[in-house]
Amino acid sequence: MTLSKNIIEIAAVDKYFKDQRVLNSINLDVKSGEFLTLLGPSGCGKTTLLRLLAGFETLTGGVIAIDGKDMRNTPPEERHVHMVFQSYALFPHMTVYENVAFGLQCKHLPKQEIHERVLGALSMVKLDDLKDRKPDRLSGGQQQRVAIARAVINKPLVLLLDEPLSALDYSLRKRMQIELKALQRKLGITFILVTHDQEEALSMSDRVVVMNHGCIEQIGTPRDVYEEPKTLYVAKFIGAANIFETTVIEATEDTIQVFIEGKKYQLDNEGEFKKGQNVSVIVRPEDLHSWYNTEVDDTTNMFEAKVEQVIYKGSTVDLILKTKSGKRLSTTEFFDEDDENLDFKRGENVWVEWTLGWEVVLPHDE
Amino acid sequence: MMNNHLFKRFSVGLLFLWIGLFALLPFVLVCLASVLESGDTNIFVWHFTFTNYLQLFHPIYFKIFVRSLYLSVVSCSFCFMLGYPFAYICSRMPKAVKPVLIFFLMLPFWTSTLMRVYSIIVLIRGEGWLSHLLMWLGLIHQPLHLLFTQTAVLIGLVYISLPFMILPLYANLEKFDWRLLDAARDLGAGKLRILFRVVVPITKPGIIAGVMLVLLPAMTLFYVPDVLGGAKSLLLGNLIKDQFFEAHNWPFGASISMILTILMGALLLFYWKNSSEENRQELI
Repeated sequence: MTLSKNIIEIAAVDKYFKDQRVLNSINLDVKSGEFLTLLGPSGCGKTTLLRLLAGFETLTGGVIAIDGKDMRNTPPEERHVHMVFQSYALFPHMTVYENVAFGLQCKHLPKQEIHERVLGALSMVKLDDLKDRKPDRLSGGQQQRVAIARAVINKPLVLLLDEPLSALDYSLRKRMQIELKALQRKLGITFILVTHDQEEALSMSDRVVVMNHGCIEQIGTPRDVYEEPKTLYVAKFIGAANIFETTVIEATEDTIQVFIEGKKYQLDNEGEFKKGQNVSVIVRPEDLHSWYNTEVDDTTNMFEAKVEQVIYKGSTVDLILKTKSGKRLSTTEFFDEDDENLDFKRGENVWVEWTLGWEVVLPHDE
Repeated sequence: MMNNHLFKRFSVGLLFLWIGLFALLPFVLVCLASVLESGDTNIFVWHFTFTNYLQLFHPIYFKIFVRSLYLSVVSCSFCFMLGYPFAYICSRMPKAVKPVLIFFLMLPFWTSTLMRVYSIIVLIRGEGWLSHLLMWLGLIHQPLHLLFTQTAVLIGLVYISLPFMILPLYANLEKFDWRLLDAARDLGAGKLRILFRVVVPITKPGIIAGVMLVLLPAMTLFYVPDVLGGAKSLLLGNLIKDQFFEAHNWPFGASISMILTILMGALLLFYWKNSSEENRQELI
């Protein structure tokens, strides 16, 4: 399996509904065989982009090519992409078997071949026993599997999934995430999944496309978008983030100096920041560490804060801290050999630090 | 609380009484009359018999029955062919437009049906508007001979029955999950396949309900042939009316009514067998 060929090419795509702009010059290449996630809040245009790929909406501007062919005049029924709909959209009057067979019947394949392939698809999603049931007699998870089987049986070039797990309860959703990912690996089909759940996006995807207000904010691996967010929006949307707004007081080519909570920090200059520029310094909660007075000797790169809340979560302890300037921070402390005894109490003062270099500095949002 | 409870009992009781007196009792009487003999001096003679039913198989009456069935099947088909596209298009209209369309559909009910049937005469008679229009367009060269023909009766039947076909279809299509069309297209289905494999099967309860509201009632619209068909084309409804008011053979009239009821019952049974639990409630 090569990941080099582009199965979908999206170039300068605009989409308007009446005079409302939903997508704004979207450029995106999807590699063959990858698991791509379109992630964003509702109304960011991710579902519209998916429907454009499926052919249910027409482009206002730009080009979409699937497998090297311009799709602008190709209706959905002639595209080799299939969709798993948000509410599954199973045919209520057909049995599971008939639902799954529908796509193959549309292609006028011989009955015997249809039969074999339907049985194959049903056993793949472990629904052999339920093939004669109508969708309304199935659980949410089972309906989900039927929807997937119905789509993948047609061997699409790309499988489009519109929030496929959003209707399932938490534990089932977790399980289906793993199953979907395993299925994608097994089939080698390109998956494009739309979700607003950042955890889902991070755990399943090869690449994540973070969208906001009809624009792409960042495209990258889950690790990229989490650890190296390109915009403040991405930093805030994916995971929790502590954001210190400050001003560059001194800048060289390699370093900048800023004040954070009254302490002077020297940070790497990775964004060509200039003196006097407003910047946001972002530190993830798990990168912040809290120490008692007794535990520290050198407080150069630390500032003081008061413990406001202690949230025990089993494998971690989350703290809500309040700095002297009144800013609230959230930190996550792991139980490990360095710090077996995470015995923080409300109202106590701690010293807060992070490993310099793990922060992300972004220009301040207008 | 107590008063509320009493009021509930009272209103439900009143309803039952009403239905019992004016629907159930007459039905029982008709049922009874249909198996009695008619007399010369009395309306009934208390003599149990099935001759009334057998009489229906007499060639004259049987012919009326068959023609009546034919007319109602044809008009029902026309209603369906005209009504389904209308209901379909109507249900896909923007929310603001839908009530307007339904309003226009209901508008004729503001006038008496009989009046409307008479007004059809104005349209279709030889010197009527339709005739003039077609002649003006050069499509025909002689005045239309439509009035007092079977076609005129059909036009009348379709005209009256159409809303009864459209409303249940619309009610059904209104609830249709249009995302299923996306799903079908996505799986490669063409327009005809979508229509006949997805839309029609899912709206089947609406179709059956519409057919039930049109097919059998059409057989009883006696005033349509009376007004538009001269005396030439008789519906079962005319036969029933004539038996009661002209031939004074109530038992025979009752037995024909019973046949219609039995047919309706059979249709209901068919519907019941063909519908799922939740769909049934739509009809009721």
